[in-house]
Amino acid sequence: MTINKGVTPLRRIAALSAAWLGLLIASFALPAVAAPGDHPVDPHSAQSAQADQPAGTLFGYLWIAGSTFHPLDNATTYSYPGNGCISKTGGTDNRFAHKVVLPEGTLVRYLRLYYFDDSTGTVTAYFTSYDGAGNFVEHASVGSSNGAGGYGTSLSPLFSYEVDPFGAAINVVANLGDQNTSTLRFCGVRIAYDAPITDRIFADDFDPIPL
Amino acid sequence: MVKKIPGVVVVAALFGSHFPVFATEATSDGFPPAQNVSYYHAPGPDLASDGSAAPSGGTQYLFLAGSAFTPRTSSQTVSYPGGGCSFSDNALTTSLELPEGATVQGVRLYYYNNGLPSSVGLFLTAYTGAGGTSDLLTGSSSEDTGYASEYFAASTPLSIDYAGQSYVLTATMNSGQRLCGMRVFYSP
Repeated sequence: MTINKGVTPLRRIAALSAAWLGLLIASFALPAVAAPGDHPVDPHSAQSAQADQPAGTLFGYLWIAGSTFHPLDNATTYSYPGNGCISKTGGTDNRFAHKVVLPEGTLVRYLRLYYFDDSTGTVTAYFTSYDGAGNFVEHASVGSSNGAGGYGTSLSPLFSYEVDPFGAAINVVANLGDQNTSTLRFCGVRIAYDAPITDRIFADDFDPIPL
Repeated sequence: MVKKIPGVVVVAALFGSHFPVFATEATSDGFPPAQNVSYYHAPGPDLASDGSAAPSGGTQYLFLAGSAFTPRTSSQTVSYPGGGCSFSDNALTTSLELPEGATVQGVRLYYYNNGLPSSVGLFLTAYTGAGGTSDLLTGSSSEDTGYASEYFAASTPLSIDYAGQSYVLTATMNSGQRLCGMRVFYSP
């Protein structure tokens, strides 16, 4: 081996120190990829404002516009103020629903709500599963905030629901409350999920026993 | 070698075309199902020359019936003429749900228009949830001889990114016309 010929241990230490110093300087000089509060965090932590979209991790997403939801009751009236949003305009049942179709084994982690809220009311979205026998489970919910006004978005707490098309159907349900004006609009939801493992070779991690 | 043919197959073969053994159209509006009708399919890259599926490898289809589209407001009229087709005097919409990262090449619009000068409209629109709207693909029907389909190609392939926006298919039409479906031609 002649690679390190002529390089004394002292020079090697100096070179390593210079390299580490360079990395340290570069880490301050380069622009950060994630927004403040995004990183570093556990990719599945709900503490970050962007926990459903952390840097460096690969959630899958399904985004459903509010304008594709339908009322649960035909006495409910609603309008389309534009931009993919709906507003409830009358009726006593305040709920709108949309089916969620994802591959079996998908692990649903977050529900993000998109809304327009210039009202005293709130819109709340629920991620709900149904067994077809009248039973349901609301796995997560997230509501709008009246504080900011205008368009906004809210994130549910982290949850874990494994999609099982054999056992349960899934809906996202939006409850628009009694605010029957376009000052409150439901603009959609975005579901963040971990895709099912389809590569069975690594489904149980690496086999520590060599062949 | 003698193959046994199940009795139910024999019965179906003998009476299948006249005897409604299988489920018929789930309609109670009195309209006959729109079956065995003349249908004009305008050519497009989503079809082979003989009208079969496009032979190019890797492309797939998502076919949504017109009756699966929902009204965008509660004030509009919606009716079901049959055959999976719907009519409404205002926009009908449905969410476009494809595998993330899929690339949409175009959309084929299925409709009914018998002699009316106006068109059935098609829109593929992206919404950001914060007021942003973008019509990624639009089309207007041009046939007026009954049932027809036309393909509308995206100017550039549209990459599906659910992290950034939602995707909605919308149809508009006038009295006497029907939306019978949309078939999305995409690469997964």
